[in-house]
Amino acid sequence: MAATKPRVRDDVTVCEIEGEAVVYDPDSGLLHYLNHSAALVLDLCDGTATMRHMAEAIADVYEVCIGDVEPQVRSGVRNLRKLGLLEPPAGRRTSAEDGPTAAAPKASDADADERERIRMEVPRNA
Amino acid sequence: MDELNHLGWVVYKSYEIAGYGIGIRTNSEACAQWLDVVLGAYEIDDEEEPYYSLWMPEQSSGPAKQYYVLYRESSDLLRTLDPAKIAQRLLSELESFALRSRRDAVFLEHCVVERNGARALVPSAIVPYMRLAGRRVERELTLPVDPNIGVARDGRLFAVPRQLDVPENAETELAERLGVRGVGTAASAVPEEVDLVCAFHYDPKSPPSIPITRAIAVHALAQSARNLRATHEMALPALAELVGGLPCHLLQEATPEGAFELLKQALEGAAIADAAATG
Repeated sequence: MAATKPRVRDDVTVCEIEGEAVVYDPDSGLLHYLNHSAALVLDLCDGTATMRHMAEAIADVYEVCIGDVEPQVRSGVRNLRKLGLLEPPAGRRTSAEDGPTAAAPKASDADADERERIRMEVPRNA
Repeated sequence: MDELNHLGWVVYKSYEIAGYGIGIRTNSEACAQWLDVVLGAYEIDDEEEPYYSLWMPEQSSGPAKQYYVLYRESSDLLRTLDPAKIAQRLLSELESFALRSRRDAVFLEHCVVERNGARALVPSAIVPYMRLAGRRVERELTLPVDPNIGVARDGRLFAVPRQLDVPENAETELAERLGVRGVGTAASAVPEEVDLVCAFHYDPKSPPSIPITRAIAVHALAQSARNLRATHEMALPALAELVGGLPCHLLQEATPEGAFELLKQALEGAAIADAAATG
């Protein structure tokens, strides 16, 4: 199976401000604050690069080891996907397509998602 | 609203503004007549739950002055000796509903507070909260009456023009009907720029004042936008323009006194920085 190339949804508004970003999702009506690393990953999610390629690009620019960067990129993409800001991967059904009988996430998964969201949205210095 | 039921409301009115049904009640026949004159075109027959309450003190011949109060649900939004300001605030509150579909600018539930020439953009909800600290708040800060402020595409601030079809002298008319000399405030007294942006929160583990990035400030401002859904593509860049180059702070709101003192300090810091920059 080919590696996915994450892409930001076309209808999402992204406003980059001094390396960070504020994102508005018109579907959910939610605003998101993204710190530097999350904003960088979002910026690379243009549908042309795999997560491996994104990690290579960051490692190259910042002169760091790709082994350190790649897990962070994967985690960042995962978080953006949980926020619903990325197009669903090709060939994968969305939860809406699954319909009402789709299995709901377990409570522990939902809690973990919420913690991830808070980590991503709450500024570290606050 | 139940908390206010003991105040002796005598007149209940219902209005439709921009598709929203809104109930208003008052304890004063004179105020009810004013509502008829000013908002009669928007009155509906449906009985809406009271959302705003206008409390007018009984006229007394004694020296003691009594406050006119505007409540939204059970929170007092404005407590003043000038009924024209109460009228102005009520009309601005009602106009908030009409701002939700506007696409020409971003409309924030924020206002500009001033001290010694330094101006801060703050959430409007913090103003009645700080007023709980006493009269010195009004003495030491210039506080606006209007809860909304407009942000143009280029990030400049402007006063929200009248949205409702009401008489030009609607504010002073209330004062006249109550037999009081009302002054009100100039709706156009909004500066195009400010010196700092302040957000408020409460976290006992955090320092009382924290510098925040401009992205966080834009996030906080955008959350208070009345019409974000209608304008998001324009709103976020406009807010980024607004905060560009400005210091942004997150202040604790543990108590009204604390919020007031922290804002005062932030404004004093901005005034000192401004004086240093201009030599």
